[in-house]
Amino acid sequence: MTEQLSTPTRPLDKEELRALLAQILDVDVAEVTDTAHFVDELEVDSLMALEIAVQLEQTYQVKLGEKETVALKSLDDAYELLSAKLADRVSP
Amino acid sequence: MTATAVITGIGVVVPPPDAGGDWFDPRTALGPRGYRYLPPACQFLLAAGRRAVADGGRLDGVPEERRAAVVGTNTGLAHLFADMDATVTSGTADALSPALAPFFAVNVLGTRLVSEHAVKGPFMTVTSPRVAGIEALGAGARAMAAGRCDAWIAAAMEHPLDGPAGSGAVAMILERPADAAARDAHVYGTCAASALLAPPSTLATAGGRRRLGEVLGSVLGDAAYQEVDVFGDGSATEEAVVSALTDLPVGAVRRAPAGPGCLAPLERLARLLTEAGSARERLVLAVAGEGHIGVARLAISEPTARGAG
Repeated sequence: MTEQLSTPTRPLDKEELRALLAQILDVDVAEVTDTAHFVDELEVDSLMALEIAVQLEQTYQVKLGEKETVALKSLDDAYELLSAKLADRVSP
Repeated sequence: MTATAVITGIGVVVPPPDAGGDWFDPRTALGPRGYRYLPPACQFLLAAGRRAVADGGRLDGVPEERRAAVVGTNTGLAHLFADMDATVTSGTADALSPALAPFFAVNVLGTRLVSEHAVKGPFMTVTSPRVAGIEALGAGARAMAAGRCDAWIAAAMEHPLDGPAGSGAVAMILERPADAAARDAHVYGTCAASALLAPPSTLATAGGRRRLGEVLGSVLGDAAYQEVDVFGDGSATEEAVVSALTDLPVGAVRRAPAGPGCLAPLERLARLLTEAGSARERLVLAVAGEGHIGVARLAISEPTARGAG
């Protein structure tokens, strides 16, 4: 994927991220709590983990490494990772 | 080697005449979760399969390893391939959806149906243009005649780019007449199907056209088919088939466009079987310009109040 380096116009919105993850995982938003475990509680398998990574990359125009993808276990994990990625992107 | 089978369950999922692109809601038709990443053709197929079972096509009395499925499609992946092409050609191949990637193989479209109904016998996808739906009927019959299954799901699914017309799925469940009688099942009728190949180069000669008539005559046998439906593509092959039929002892020939896939002939079969007033002996053909000819011979049971679900 060609990484887009456009500057985000606003901070990462956790509720938007929650809604996006719920959409990707085909579950109700309420099920995606901050700490709900993707594998143990939301039935994410390896294919769906890749789907999460691709859609996060597309939505937030970031690149996720393999280890970063594997480390994503919950909404909190995704929020922290994306926040760091987006912060790095706007740093001079 | 083939076998005559009875149809005991029919499921039809097609858009109403004035439907828009959102005519099918997978959440309503299938359930709230687990179907998001299935291509629409696969969703149509699942819904049709469930309706066929609910309609009386019982599979639960057949051991799982004795259940078979044959599904036909021509355009089932048209949208997915178009989307994949657009993604790749726009320079973002990494953006291909991993969840949809397995459907790059057309045989995967039917696997969810097979899983859902615990089909552990023969499973096959057929894709010959126009005739694949009828081929699904014939291939299942051959598997049963060969002793490989006791019942099968024959289905067609389509999702053409210029839909929703031509989209949808039809599923039928077929079994041995004796098995259906033993469980006192409602029988829509008997069906036998054949697939022929008449290469256009052969049909370009008088001898080839005469031979086509001979072969069609042998396929039809002595039955008196009062009405005939031919779904074609306006090709020379269709013209040759219609011409050959006029020399055979069959009733009125009704021609209709096959449309973009293989669904129309199976949808017609379903309607004939479920609508009161259909002539008892019916013939439905699908013809493709490439030379494929599918022939489905129906003997419809007494009129019934039941309709295709």
